[in-house]
Amino acid sequence: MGDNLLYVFAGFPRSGLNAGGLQHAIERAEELAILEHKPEIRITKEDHGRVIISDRCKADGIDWPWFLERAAFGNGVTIHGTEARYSDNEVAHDLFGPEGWAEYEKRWTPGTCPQEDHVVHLTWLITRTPLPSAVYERVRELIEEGAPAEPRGAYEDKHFSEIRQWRAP
Amino acid sequence: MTEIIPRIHAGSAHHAGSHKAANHSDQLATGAELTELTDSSETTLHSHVASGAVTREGGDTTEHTTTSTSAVDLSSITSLNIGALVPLHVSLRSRKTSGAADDADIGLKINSTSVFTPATNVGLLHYTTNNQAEELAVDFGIGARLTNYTFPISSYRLRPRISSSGAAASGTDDGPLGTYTNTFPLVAITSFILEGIVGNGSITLAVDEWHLYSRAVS
Repeated sequence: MGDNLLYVFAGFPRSGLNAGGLQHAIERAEELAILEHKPEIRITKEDHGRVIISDRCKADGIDWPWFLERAAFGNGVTIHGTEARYSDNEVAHDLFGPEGWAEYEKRWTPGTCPQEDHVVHLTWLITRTPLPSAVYERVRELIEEGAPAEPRGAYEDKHFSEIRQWRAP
Repeated sequence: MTEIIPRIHAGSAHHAGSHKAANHSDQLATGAELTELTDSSETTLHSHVASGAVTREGGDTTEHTTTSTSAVDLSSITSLNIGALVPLHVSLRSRKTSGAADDADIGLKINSTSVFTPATNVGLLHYTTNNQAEELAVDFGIGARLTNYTFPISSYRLRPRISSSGAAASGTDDGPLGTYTNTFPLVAITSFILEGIVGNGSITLAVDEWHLYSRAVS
């Protein structure tokens, strides 16, 4: 891992920024930090010594031991999805994004929730140097607080993913 | 989401068309007991398991993306218990953005064992090195895993499409591409992880609307 650091945040940007868009925001649009892109850099679970997990992740029960054995975090920026059991991880309702807990809960037959698996989204990025607190906070706002990607003219369409709400089939 | 196929078929017409008395192990039963089969209630004489029953084991209907130039876990299903002899089906959509003249690939980990570590020209999905947005739709099967049968991914055609036009991005390859990193584990599948990699950090690789299904074997 060298001097690289892994930052893990809860959820994904509600602005729709995808990994490339978030990277563009950090490295170009807002010039917040320099990310690590060297192909030989591949952060794995063995590199937990230089990992910063957001308070929101920790409040949701997502800490370092939570990740799979031999999990691979790569480099650059990744927006990842996995399934977790609510009862094991006590994942907070806030992770369910724009549809909200009430809508999400309607998916299940009464009596089965909250024992079902559900999708957990995590955004992580690998930097070359530690993020100053103000920079960390701005990155966290972009990912966890739904801060808009501004100015919009600084971004291309390819920097965004479509945000879709779950609809009953 | 799990699709449940009713185990007991209701309706006398169905039963009348599907059975002969000689096929029943209860052929010494009385006519009254055989008549019970025509209603929808459970009986101890026999019950049907619908053939071709399919269960959605998991998947993801949110786009997940990466700019990593080394293999990264992109999307995971981690609460599985699928027997080694259970055949599977995967339906997957993916795309890469423009940004650099380089490729992108998607690989696979089973139970934390990488069966296809994505790399240049290696993976379940592979894009061209042209600097353009491309997309792929892939459906493939994974057969039973057992001794002497450890490379179970069925063949399929890989042909990225240029996102702006729909034209074929390159010649057709047969997937999966390249050499298996490891054989499939011959134990129950507990986690199924799509890995991703891009050749240049200016490219974004995405997976979306992917689903893992298992098929009943009896």
